[in-house]
Amino acid sequence: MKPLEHDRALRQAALPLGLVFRLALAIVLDTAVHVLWKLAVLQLPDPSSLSAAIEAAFHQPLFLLVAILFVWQLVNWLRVLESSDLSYSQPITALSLISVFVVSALYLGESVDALKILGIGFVFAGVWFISRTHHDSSARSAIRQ
Amino acid sequence: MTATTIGVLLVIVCGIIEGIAQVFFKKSALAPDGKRLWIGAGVVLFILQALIYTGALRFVEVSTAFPIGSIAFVIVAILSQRFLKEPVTGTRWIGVGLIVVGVTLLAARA
Repeated sequence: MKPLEHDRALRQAALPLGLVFRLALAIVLDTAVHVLWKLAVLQLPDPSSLSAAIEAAFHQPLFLLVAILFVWQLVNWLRVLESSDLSYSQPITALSLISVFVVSALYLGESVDALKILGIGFVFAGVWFISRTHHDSSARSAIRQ
Repeated sequence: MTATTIGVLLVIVCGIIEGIAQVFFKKSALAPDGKRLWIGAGVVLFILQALIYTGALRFVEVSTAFPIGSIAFVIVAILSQRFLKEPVTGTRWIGVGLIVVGVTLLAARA
């Protein structure tokens, strides 16, 4: 097979359904963690020291929720890495760039302007480029592991 | 140095730490033994990152901080090629370059 055909065949190879689900879950958890994290920080009083800030965080229930979601995210992410290349899977989860942007604008009232959208657009384009390249995330990869 | 600049710098430090932690996690998936060591090291870095990121979020919006944290992709591309022997092609480097441009725009805007 010619290199170009080989690359196309690899791109077209179906990803295992379990991997697709775990990648989607990673995006949802990523969004929830970051938006809730910002909410939790907004509710913290101005700390007088680092130890005071950490103590205040322990008394903030939202941080507990963030921690739980964070652990879930970590466990899910380790499952993703068992069947795919890190440099392929991590950029896919960058779809959460868009979801965090939308949710934070809608629910946190964060700013929306052309430069921010352009910056996020460049980051997202970069992610798209990366995800179009050769990767090793097929069922074959899972078996290899 | 303004509070926003400090926040942006803290987020960049978080991105670097996350990139290293991700490589540790992939190492854990590949290592026949010593998995716990790699996962433990990754978790320690994640906790450190969490503390720094909490501080950073006091100074910058999450919709700015989160994409700037994508600098982790650059770190992952470099480290995964060097230490995991994963293929990082020219196209992928273009992607990394676009991410750097995006992060720079966001940092300048913040």
